[in-house]
Amino acid sequence: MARWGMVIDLDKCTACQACVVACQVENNVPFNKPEEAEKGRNIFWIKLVPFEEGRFPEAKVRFLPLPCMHCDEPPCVEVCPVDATNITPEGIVRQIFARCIGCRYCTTACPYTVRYFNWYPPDFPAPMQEAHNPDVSVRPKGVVEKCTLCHHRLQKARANAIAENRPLLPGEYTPACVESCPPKAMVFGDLDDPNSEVAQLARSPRAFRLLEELGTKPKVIYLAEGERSATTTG
Amino acid sequence: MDFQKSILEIRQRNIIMIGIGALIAFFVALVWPFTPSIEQPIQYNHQKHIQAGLECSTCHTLYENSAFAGLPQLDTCSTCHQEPLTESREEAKLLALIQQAKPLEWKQINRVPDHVYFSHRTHTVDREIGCATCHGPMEERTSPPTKPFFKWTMDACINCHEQRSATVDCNGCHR
Ligand code: HEC
Ligand code: HEC
Ligand code: HEC
Ligand code: HEC
Ligand code: HEC
Repeated sequence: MARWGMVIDLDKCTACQACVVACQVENNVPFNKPEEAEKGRNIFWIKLVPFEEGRFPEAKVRFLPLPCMHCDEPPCVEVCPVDATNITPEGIVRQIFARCIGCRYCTTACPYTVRYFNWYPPDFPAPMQEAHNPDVSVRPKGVVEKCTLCHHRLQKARANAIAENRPLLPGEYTPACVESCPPKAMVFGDLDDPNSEVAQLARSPRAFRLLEELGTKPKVIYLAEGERSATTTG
Repeated sequence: MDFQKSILEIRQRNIIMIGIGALIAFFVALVWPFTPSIEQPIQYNHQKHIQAGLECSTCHTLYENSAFAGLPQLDTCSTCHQEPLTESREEAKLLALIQQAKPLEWKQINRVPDHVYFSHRTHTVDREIGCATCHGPMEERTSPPTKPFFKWTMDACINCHEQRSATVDCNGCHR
């Protein structure tokens, strides 16, 4: 059985945010508004987080694309009182929207702050209402949502595999963010398949995980930028 | 004394109101079961068409390749219904619609919520589950169904999935 994971090469990432846009469209994520941004209520299943370093005139900004980490030991799952979030045998930390009661324990428990609460009924500008992705349900007010690794794409890929009576092939299932990445900084696949590109990259000396010390065992793995890798491997 | 009288009046009014209410409830109850909850544009007859030798896929054209079975549009019907084939009033309605080129707006009876993924291709083609297993004997229907053969609760899906060792993983069905 596959263990789905993702590698993001920060050297290749140009911070273009194509992944962010692709994700919002693919997953019917409501439009974000400036007033809500001020309240910290915007929803981004993947977002670009800036890290400022140094001081003027030596200042520098690094960017980090931040989806759900799909931890092997997810703290959010521990706290969910109704089993609305759970980890699948294939390692996807799922969110069953219909099951969620909106208590927001999980948003608090998540050290990566990648879980989002729907404070309002979904609100799309008129032309967008006709343009929803039918493969993804629109979440109602009062439930928590997050990156699902586009698991609706897995459902369809698996249906094709069943139709052709064969196992799922590598590359058949890819989340929208990975697919859209212009410099191909994101790689997706089975971490348990030692020959897959993700598994190989995950073993790179540049590989690191966010807040590794918490023991969450994220399955989103970053490749450090050249300068840092020079110092860490050097 | 005044006080007692007014209480009496109120009681009388209440009794009349209850009487009227009961009468209304009685008539509603009389009519209720006979009003079909769903009006289809045409009282379509499955039995006659299956007896005429049609396959389900003639009209439900999508299930072989997609999640949906599909409900037929006028161009499907008009391949046969150019001239009246019967004296049926329903057929006359159909012919009128064809002439005015108005779309056929069937109301879908079987439905799962949009947070559930169900694929006809997977079930009917790949795993060869007959339509009747889920929809009952459609070929005997002389009028459109007003309710699904199975109430599509989660249990309805899971019962069969457990029997046939298909997925019971939440992510298999939910999206
Ligand atoms: C392949 C040819 C064919 C197609 C396609 C077809 N029909 Fe028919 N239809 C028939 C025939 C043949 C009869 C006469 C059946 C009989 O009286 O035994 C009939 C009869 C009918 C009648 C009259 C039945 C009655 O109650 O007496 C209606 C109404 C009707 N069709 C509606 C439709 C509609 C709506 C469609 C499109 C969804 C359609 N048909 C598609 C062949 C067809
Ligand atoms: C495993 C159970 C199952 C089987 C087998 C099955 N169906 Fe369905 N059918 C459903 C469910 C569930 C829905 C509601 C689907 C939805 O809301 O998308 C449905 C909906 C439909 C609809 C209306 C909506 C649509 O998809 O366009 C039609 C028509 C239909 N089925 C025809 C068929 C035919 C024809 C067959 C045989 C080839 C068949 N079904 C076999 C379960 C089944
Ligand atoms: C000539 C066209 C035609 C053929 C052939 C046909 N159907 Fe239908 N079917 C329709 C139409 C029109 C409707 C919508 C009106 C209704 O509900 O009766 C419908 C509705 C249905 C529905 C209910 C869909 C809903 O709204 O949920 C099911 C289930 C269904 N058909 C199954 C079958 C099966 C199984 C067969 C083959 C045995 C079959 N049909 C053959 C035309 C057809
Ligand atoms: C009559 C039995 C039956 C019923 C009823 C039924 N299923 Fe299935 N379903 C199956 C079988 C058999 C498979 C094939 C499993 C396989 O080969 O992996 C399947 C497969 C599936 C799959 C693909 C599983 C995968 O491994 O990706 C989904 C999704 C699914 N069903 C959803 C539903 C939903 C939703 C319903 C209820 C609306 C439903 N099913 C009702 C028998 C049924
Ligand atoms: C075989 C397919 C299938 C599987 C597996 C499945 N569900 Fe469902 N689920 C459904 C269907 C179909 C419905 C819609 C039922 C209805 O409309 O009444 C549903 C409805 C629900 C609802 C109720 C939504 C509401 O609006 O009332 C919840 C909550 C839910 N599912 C949670 C789960 C959880 C948690 C799991 C995993 C343990 C799971 N489901 C596994 C098919 C499935």
